[in-house]
Amino acid sequence: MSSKGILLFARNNTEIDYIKQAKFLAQRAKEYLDLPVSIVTDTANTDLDGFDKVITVSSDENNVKSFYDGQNYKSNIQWKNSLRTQAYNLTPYDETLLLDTDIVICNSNFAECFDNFEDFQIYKNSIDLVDRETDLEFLRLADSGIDFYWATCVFFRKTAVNKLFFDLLIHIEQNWDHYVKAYGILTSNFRNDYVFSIGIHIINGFKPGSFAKSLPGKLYHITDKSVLKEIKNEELLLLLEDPTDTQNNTLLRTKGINVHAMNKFSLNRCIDEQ
Amino acid sequence: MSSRGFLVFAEGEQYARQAYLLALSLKFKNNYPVSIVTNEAVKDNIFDQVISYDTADTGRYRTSIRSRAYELSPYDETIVLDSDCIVLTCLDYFWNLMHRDLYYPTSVYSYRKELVTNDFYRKTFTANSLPNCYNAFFYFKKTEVNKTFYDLLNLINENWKEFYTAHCKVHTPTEPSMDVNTAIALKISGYKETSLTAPFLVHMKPLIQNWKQPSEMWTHKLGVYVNQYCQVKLGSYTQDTVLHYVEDDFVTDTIIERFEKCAIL
Repeated sequence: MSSKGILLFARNNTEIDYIKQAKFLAQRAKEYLDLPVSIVTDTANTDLDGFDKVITVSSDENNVKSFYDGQNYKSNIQWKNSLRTQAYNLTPYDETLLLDTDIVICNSNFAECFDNFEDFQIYKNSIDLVDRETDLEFLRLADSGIDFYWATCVFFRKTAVNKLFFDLLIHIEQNWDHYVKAYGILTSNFRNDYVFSIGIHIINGFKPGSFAKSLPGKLYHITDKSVLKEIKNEELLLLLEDPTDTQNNTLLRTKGINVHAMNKFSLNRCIDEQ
Repeated sequence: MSSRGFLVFAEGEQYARQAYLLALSLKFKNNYPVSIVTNEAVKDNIFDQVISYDTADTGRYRTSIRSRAYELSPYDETIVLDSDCIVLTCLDYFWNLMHRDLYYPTSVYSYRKELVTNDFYRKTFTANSLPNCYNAFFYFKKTEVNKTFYDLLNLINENWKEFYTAHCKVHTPTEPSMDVNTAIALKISGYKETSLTAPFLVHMKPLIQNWKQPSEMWTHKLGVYVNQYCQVKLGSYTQDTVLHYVEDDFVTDTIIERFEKCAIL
């Protein structure tokens, strides 16, 4: 029987404790999905007892990104987002659900991906909880460019095709400067969403194709300009940004939907309050 | 067995050059002959038949001569293509699966193979409930019914103002359009659109490419790449159907040379 589990990448920087998020996600994964969780980390000497396997890696990265905490606080800090392309090689499972640590699981939808026949599943669309037209950034890599996929949640089985796909992702990562130019990407920062999107486009033969199927259910997100205020079982309380007024917010309560909470500061505050 | 072939119209030097590239692309991937209707001297080694005429059609869309496709085609079954198209796929399946005598596409796609739903260029059709047909690629078989249809199309072309007054009450074209003429003929004939495994017609008019910031010419926004195997990419997207490239500057000496090599091989 094939092994199944969740894989998380969690490497802390000076301001954000990703391991804390990973532990929290692991608890909820057990509660909602009944799946073991393994962690890939570069942080030694930390209590990681709750994980099925701990995979230690070294990392030395120079990516810097602006992280917001609501509309009025911004910090430029190190962004350790490489190595996700190694997920195929690092995972201890035959069937892996790869998740960002800032996913707040509130239902059991993800469990269905293990029952589906499709060997590679990913979201092409995520619903912004702020009611506005979807940013081009989340639709395409450039106005005339290829479709965007969210590397936030990815399911894959160990198959020859998926091995080829992840090898391709490693190649793209290693030659990132070239692919930035070839795909008209405006930011030079390495970004996993873009790497996966390019990989899918290439493996489909440089055209729309059937390699990537959609993960079950829907993914919702808030950007880091909105604030997660409270997590109470499957209910989340959020302060949504007002794109037209930085002093204004909209209060929203959700129930039973998975949310990609990109405001990592507020996610960690909510975890501390548990 | 009935004869089959492709037919292209080309009036003037620029269109003749486009038609030559189209014929090369057809020779590369397809097995049926290509004939040209033209008033130009053309390289006849690529064409099965050169059907000459010497009257200049002064209309922008050359509707007078193009309305005569049925009469001029040397084939029992004909696929007619606009000269500013190239065919990047083998159409044998289309010929063999064709189960109707007349076919006009009523959907086109962007270079990313998105179905075009934007009617920016097709207001006459949507506003007047006309079939949204395209003449860039169509098929007909020589039958009595189709003879009547193309007689009607000729009649519409000769009396286009009267027909437009009756059938295009809003967004009325100010000059004869082949697509509008055909749409009126199809509507009068009761043409029914059916699902058909037809090749995607990729239409490159810039405002139907789903761009947030369209450019006046798509060639200003997208790179054109043609490799030694005549595989064509627009931007990051491989093209493998019928490409209606629209813009004159798509045709370069380099592209023609590449297709000449592929067609000969």
